[in-house]
Amino acid sequence: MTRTLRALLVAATAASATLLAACGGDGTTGPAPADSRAAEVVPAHAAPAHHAGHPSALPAGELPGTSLFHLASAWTDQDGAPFALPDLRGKPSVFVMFYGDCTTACPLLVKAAEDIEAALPAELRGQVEFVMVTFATEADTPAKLKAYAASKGLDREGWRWLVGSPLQTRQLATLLGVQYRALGDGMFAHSNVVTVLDREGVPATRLEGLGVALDPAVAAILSVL
Amino acid sequence: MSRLAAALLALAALAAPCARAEAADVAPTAMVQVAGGEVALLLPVEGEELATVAPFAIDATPVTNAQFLAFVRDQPEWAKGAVPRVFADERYLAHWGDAGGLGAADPDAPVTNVSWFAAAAYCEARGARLPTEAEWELAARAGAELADGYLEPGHRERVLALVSGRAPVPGPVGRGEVNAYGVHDMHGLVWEWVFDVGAAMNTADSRSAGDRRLRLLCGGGSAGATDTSDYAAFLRYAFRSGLTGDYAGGGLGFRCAS
Repeated sequence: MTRTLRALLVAATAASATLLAACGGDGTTGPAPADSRAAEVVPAHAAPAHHAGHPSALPAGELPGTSLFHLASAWTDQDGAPFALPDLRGKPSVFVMFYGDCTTACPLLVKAAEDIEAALPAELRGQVEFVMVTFATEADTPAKLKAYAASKGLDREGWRWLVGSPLQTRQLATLLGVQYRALGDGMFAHSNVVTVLDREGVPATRLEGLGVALDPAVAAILSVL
Repeated sequence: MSRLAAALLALAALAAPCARAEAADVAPTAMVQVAGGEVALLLPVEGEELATVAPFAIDATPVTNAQFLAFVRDQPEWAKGAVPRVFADERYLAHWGDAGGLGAADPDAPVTNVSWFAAAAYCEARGARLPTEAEWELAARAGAELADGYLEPGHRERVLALVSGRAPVPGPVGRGEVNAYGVHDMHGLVWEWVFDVGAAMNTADSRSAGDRRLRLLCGGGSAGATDTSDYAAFLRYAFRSGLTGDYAGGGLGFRCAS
């Protein structure tokens, strides 16, 4: 478990050294284990590698202190590949926390994200990332997330379905202001939140509750694109 | 490890002179075992009367300034002034010196002005974690003699006296109350972080912890509370429900579990 922390710390260091944007997405660190222990994977690109003679790796700039991209540990996506939040740098993103066995609120949350995408001008849709993160760190394997996404037609470009360690999941929920508690029978009590992050990972808009107007989220995306 | 051995270890740690506390290899706190059980959270999720807790181990004392300094020296990313704003507010380690040390802070006092992210990182570095709210409450429920302190006459009043009698600047750990598990200072020094910060909600349909906070502060929440006479518990839940993970405050510390 200490490797989780090391991944976070090392990656946070790298992020503050602003190297991740340049290195992000190299995706060459090999497949993550399929058992959702994503946080134990230390992505190679998270290691500080800022030497003289690496001008091509020079970053766009230091992350803002309020950026959620400081949470730089690796998750596992629906294809079993590692994915870290700093990989989103440069694009606005829409975050939802949910879980697969949730039949009431969660489908509405996912639908809200889908509706936000649909409300964007067609030519801009590919410039926004949609990130769905499960509370169910044990039950929602990458394969299950992939099936869930496919059942909604959302296993496609621009949609990330992530599972991580219990700590990582709680860290993200804490950053997003999402409350949740396992009820012990595979179900979770949770608050319903849709968050828009700007290109640097700073929250731009936060919608709380079900059935709320999505216009502020769409407007926030358009304003940061 | 037996409870006695754990207690002796904790006492041995406390007996060390202050000077050693600036060393970078401060021993972690001894842990004690707590049998699992069921605990009634003050404001349970609707339909969830009792939370079931598996057996766990918890630090006998809160994490001290000296112990946290050792961590920070090992993981400078968590040093005062080095932590991104998203993980800790401007009060982070405000009571420490500005030269990378404790300054005037008591090495043996519980570390305070630590955010949830920093506390969770400390425990993770130890191969441990923060206790869940249910675990913390179960450990805190013990009286001087019994695992269920509520069976001891005057328990509520003693706990409330400990909470309301806290010093503005907490003193050394391990010198206050000790409960039947051998766990020290659950009430008399500081509030403590739990793993599932912000996890608690009045009902499964709550839209936010704000609902809970509002109900608590308005008194309406007490209608759903498990035990309205337990004012000290009421204060704990009210305090926790208002926290965000970046908060660093003078009256808030933590201990680890595993």
